[in-house]
Amino acid sequence: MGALKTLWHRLGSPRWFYGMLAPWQFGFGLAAMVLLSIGTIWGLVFAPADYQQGDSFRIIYIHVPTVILAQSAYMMLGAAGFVLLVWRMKMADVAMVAIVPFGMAITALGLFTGAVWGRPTWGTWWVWTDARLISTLVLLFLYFGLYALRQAITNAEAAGRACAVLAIVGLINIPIIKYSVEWWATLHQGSTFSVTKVSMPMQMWAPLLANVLGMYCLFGWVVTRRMRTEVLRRERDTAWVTELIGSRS
Amino acid sequence: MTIAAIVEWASMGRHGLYVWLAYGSSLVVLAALVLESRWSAARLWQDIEADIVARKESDQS
Amino acid sequence: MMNLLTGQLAREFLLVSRVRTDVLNPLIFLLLAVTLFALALEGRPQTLQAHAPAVLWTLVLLTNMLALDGLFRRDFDDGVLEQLFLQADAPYVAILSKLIVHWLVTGFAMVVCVPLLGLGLYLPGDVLPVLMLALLLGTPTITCLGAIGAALTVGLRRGGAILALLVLPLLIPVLIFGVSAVNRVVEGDPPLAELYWLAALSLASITAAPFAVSAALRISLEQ
Repeated sequence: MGALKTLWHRLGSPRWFYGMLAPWQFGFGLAAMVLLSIGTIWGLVFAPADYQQGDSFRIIYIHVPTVILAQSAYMMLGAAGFVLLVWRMKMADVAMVAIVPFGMAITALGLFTGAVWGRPTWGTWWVWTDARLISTLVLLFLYFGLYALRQAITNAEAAGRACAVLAIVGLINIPIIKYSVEWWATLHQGSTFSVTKVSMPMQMWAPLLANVLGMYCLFGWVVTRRMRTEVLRRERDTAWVTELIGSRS
Repeated sequence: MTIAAIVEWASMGRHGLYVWLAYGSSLVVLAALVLESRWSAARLWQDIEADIVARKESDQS
Repeated sequence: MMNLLTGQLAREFLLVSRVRTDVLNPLIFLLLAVTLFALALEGRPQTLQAHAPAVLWTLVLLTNMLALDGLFRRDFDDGVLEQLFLQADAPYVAILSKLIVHWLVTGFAMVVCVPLLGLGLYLPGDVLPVLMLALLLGTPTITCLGAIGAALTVGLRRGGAILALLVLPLLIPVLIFGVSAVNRVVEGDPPLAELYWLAALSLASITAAPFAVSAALRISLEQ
């Protein structure tokens, strides 16, 4: 309990936070490079082709990680928003600032790679009657909304808390939107990937697992990098930043 | 490994266009994300550095 | 508690009755937009009838976005909102009465008007009761979720476009079930499931929205 309390107080210190993230950023970056290289090369070269879909199946190794991250990133946004509103922890706001660009890019990428996969597999780039496609599209709109709202509100503190409210409202609505769209007929396959229930041979899911973990690490790298930048930006006129940057130049 | 084998691999059983489009776009987007994160960090760092130098000079004069 | 609510409701009604164009403009916009659609579809009765549920529901959503932009603006500008938050920690009653009155003059007004527009788009008469019921059950969700967006953007000089960007994605279920309910009846099936969905969404959003709106307004006031 005592250790937790110390951690809690330290999290309120931007200076400690900035330094603490540095090794994490390095570790995430290294792990992302290793895992994504292994997963991608394995998936493209050594994994067997699917007996039905042939080689277009290999798109799964990049598409599934992006879509998983698109959702995970939004959940973390919602969690950060909750922490910001309830405990008023400033670093949660910093985290939200850092997550949104990643989420926007990865969600757009998930939609694009999904379309590219859908063309050879189901004969169409896009369908309007699939819950997963529509909820991913809605996710992209939610990211756009968060980005736009933060840009629009000039007061940084108010912008952060407004985005937190929006992120939480969005988080509650995502499952509702998804279930409501599932009402329509679906032409997608069932979800092919879960950690516990493996429906693919090891040669196929191992590279997928590597890429999913790698994508989480890439998320970790981008977010820690951007969080550190954001901390410096907010603290640029303080003594510790002057000292830090003055001593390195 | 012969060149023919590499060409065969790269064609991805006639789905080469889709596979490489998916992986290429991912590479571009993820690289852009990483580079933009680094550039914005570097830009801010230089910006603050210039600030510090300017402050020092105005203190001396 | 009840006295407080009736007092607030009376105040809101008085405000609304003083600025009648605020109420009428969205409805006129709706009529105008339906006219544009009818002309764009070249007035063909069969095409219009087939697209009427989709057109009407889409326009109901968009028109609500127009109307919601002004939901808190006047009270925000003249300081009434600030007073409310000074009096109570979270003025749920005031917020709730604002939502009720706003729904009556936009959502409920649409429940009444849209079936007439439906007739104009050649929807068969026996479909109209279900359209009205679907609107009655669906528009509270639009007002409640829209109010959250309106509360978040009330401090912005140009909130309109961003309000729509924030709120419309969340209203997709209302659109789906609303259109689906009407189409179900056109095909001759009972639209019970869709109506239950719309009712459930409305109940959930009526319950949760005042808290979110209150939090959002407080944030907007701090700017």
